[in-house]
Amino acid sequence: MSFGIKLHIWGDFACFTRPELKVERASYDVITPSAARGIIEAIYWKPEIRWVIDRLHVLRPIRFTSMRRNEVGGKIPAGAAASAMKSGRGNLGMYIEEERQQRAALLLRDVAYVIEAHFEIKSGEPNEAKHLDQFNRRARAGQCFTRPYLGCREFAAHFELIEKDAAPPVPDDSLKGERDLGWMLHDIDFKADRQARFFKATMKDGVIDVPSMGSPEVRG
Amino acid sequence: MILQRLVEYYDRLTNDPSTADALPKPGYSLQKISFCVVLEADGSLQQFQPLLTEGAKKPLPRQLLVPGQSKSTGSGLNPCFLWDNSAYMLGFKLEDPKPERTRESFEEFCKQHLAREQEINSPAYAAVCNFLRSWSPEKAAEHAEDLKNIVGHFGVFRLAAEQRFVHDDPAVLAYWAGQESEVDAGVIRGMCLVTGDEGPIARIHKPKIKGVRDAQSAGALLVSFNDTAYESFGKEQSYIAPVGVGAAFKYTNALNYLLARSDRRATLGDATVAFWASEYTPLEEGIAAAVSDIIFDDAPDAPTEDRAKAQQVRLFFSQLREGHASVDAIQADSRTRFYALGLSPNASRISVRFWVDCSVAEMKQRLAEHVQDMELIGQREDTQLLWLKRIVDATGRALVDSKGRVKGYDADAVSPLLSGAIARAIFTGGPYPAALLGAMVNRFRADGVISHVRVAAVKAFLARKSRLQGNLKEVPVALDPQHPSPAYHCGRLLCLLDYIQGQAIGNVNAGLVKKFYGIASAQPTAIFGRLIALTSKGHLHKLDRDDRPGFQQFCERQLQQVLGQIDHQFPKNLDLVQQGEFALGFYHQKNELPDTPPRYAITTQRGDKVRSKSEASIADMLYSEGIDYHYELPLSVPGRRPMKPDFTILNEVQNETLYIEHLGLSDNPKYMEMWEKKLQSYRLLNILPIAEGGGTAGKLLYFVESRTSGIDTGNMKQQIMAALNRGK
Repeated sequence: MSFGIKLHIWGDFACFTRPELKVERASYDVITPSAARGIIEAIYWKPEIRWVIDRLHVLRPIRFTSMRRNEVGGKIPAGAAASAMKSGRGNLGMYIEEERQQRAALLLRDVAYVIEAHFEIKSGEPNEAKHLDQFNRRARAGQCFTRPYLGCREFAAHFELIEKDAAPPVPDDSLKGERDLGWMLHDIDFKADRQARFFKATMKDGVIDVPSMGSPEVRG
Repeated sequence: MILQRLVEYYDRLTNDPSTADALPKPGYSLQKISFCVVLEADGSLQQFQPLLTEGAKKPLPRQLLVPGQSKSTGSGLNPCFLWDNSAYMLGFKLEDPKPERTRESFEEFCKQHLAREQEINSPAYAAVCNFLRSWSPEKAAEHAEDLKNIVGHFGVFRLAAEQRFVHDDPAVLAYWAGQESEVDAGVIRGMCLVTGDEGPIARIHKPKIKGVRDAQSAGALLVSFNDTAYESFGKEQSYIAPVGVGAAFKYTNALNYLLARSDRRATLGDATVAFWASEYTPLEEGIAAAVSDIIFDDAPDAPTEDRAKAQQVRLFFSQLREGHASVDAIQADSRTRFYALGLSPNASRISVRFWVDCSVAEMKQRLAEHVQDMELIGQREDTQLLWLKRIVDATGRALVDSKGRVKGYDADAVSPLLSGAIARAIFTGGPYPAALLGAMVNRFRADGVISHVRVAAVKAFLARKSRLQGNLKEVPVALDPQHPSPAYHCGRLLCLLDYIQGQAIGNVNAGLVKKFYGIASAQPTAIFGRLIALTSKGHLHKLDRDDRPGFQQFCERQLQQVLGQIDHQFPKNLDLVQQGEFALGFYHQKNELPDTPPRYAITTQRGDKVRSKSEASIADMLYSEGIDYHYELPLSVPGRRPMKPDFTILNEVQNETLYIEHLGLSDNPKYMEMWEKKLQSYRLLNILPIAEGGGTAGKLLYFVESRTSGIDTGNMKQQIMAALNRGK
């Protein structure tokens, strides 16, 4: 893709949570297209464009670690907030001592990926070069709207743009061969009532080809 | 991934005829049935029959496949179909606090069954309905004596003339199958994220997972969203992660099956681990026993199952260590995938502690790597290897007897999280947790007990760290006088100085190690100067004794060698890893001191360590003939400590096992007395010498060597071959 970008990201921890094991978090083996899109959008995004992930490269061997954290178990109900607004008084606080939940998490350790993506213009001036240039500039300078994260907000990601003619980093030897990763979350379809979409992911020598949202391989 | 593999395992079991019946089919569940209501053809009661099996302590109910899921909790009335507890079935409850409630349940049960009478065209079912119509709770009270002992769990119905239960009647089965395929109108359809198929989505994943240690006894859920904080995108409960009804059924039942079998699951610290593979493999069976926290009691008075298990575990490890297998087995191993799922409880939920997905060959390799990493000189062969529990226990405070020997460790001071981390390191091949090194080094400083298990754990940490970093040089198993690390030699030095002190002034209450280990291992420059001065001025000259000529010079030479390695470069501070090396050096030196008898000093061609040259020749001869042998594999003897035959050659047919003994000191009367005793033990086990025709449990072949007649390997080879019927 002439208007495609390649971004190298890495971090100490990552948690691309499996939907079914969301409470006691367990991560997928690799980054999901949804998380990759989130990282790119944190660097540059406008309502006029839509990022589409093409390919994911896994660079480091897949290693897990686990930890337990104390978190909050409930949400402040929206109704309580609305009635407090209307009446002008109310108790909207949440006391952590009463709502504490300890949740375990199975995380990925020492991850590094290269994301290949391109964008499509949804509205506004049909000037791809402008958007591409903005992205490149921001990525080179390390600018972002919010810090990109690897699955969960607390696992910050470092990023680096891979220039057009530069050689991308090479996957580790242990990732050689073909590996079936099962049904992986592709993304959330916001047009269809936030339905989750899945695709059958296979990793060949550390490379995962991601089908596009509308294609028949993406189901759900 | 995890759920998908469990679903595949369920399919594998149901397709295999030998295990197909062990798992519930959709629409059925396994329940504990303790009694059966036996009816005549017209519905009148014949008798109440107990359905109990003999358990270890008291009679246990039988597990039967019955229609429907487990009884749901709650205050509503929920009778089951053709099975239930005695309150629903008969209106009878032991020590009934609420007879009205029992009556209501019975009536509801009757109503539900009578309502279906028209649909089910079966005489057995008709008999049940007749029985229910004519029965009442008062009649149950009359039979209270009979019922008292058997109504602990659930009951089923049976006709007196038939062997099978009413719920297994073909007409009933057909009816129930028809029931199950009707889908509840309110259920949401979608794509299952485990199988990828379209179908109804399970709202709650049942049956609950039982068998995770310390979880809720009623069962806990692996996939559950029981608080508002876990909802997202406006979806609730299990719709957050759509898993199809079929897939949910399969994975929960497969997991329950694994956790119920003691040979498929092991407890490692706070985690319960389930093991399975994509095809049948012997590793599946051996590994749970081998890695379990339960150390099988091998004492002479332990129950036979425990000792058999202990023997099995030893065999498993000796095979791992020796690592021999046929070509076919190796191919199968690289093709078959092996899975280990570590689960730990969190109130009503279960969290995934670790998940391993690798080939059997890789798993064997990783286990072998653990064994190899832990290898350290001075290992007593009859300990149940250095498995997880021993390592983790050793991080506790050491309990020492009056002679200074270690009797055990205080279990209270042990961190439960450590086992999970070490287990993950073993199964994934990753580095051992740094907490392990930290805990051991702390213990060395705190109680000064430098025991084999502790040092082996330290050595394993260092060895694996160095291997994962790509260093080709291995961390040494025994003393390495040229080791590059000065910390190592500092450890050696402390050991030597302590030894010299002991030899010079005898056993002191607060010897060098007890007083100075802590500071010597952390800040060598602070203390070694003083200690060396103390030794050279106060102790060394006392070693010059008439009954041990040359001993002082020997000790001095040792000291010089170590000091030469350090070469005045005592490190100022030692970090954690270096403190580990310090302990390693200390331990290695301890095993090389003159008073420690060299145990297994000769190495065979295959790589084992044996006690004497003659044994080595026998071993080499067996190896060159391609015979698979086990050296000193302990053999349980009832009423005595386990015996260790020199060589054990197992055959596929167990009673053809050949035991080879070599008697090297036949001129020594005491030695021969011991041999007679050993021979007696063999006879006890029905292992008889070849000359007497061999026994039912195995054959014994022994070779006598004396000072005058040496061993004749040619003759031995002939005899061994003849015994094995190989005729090579």
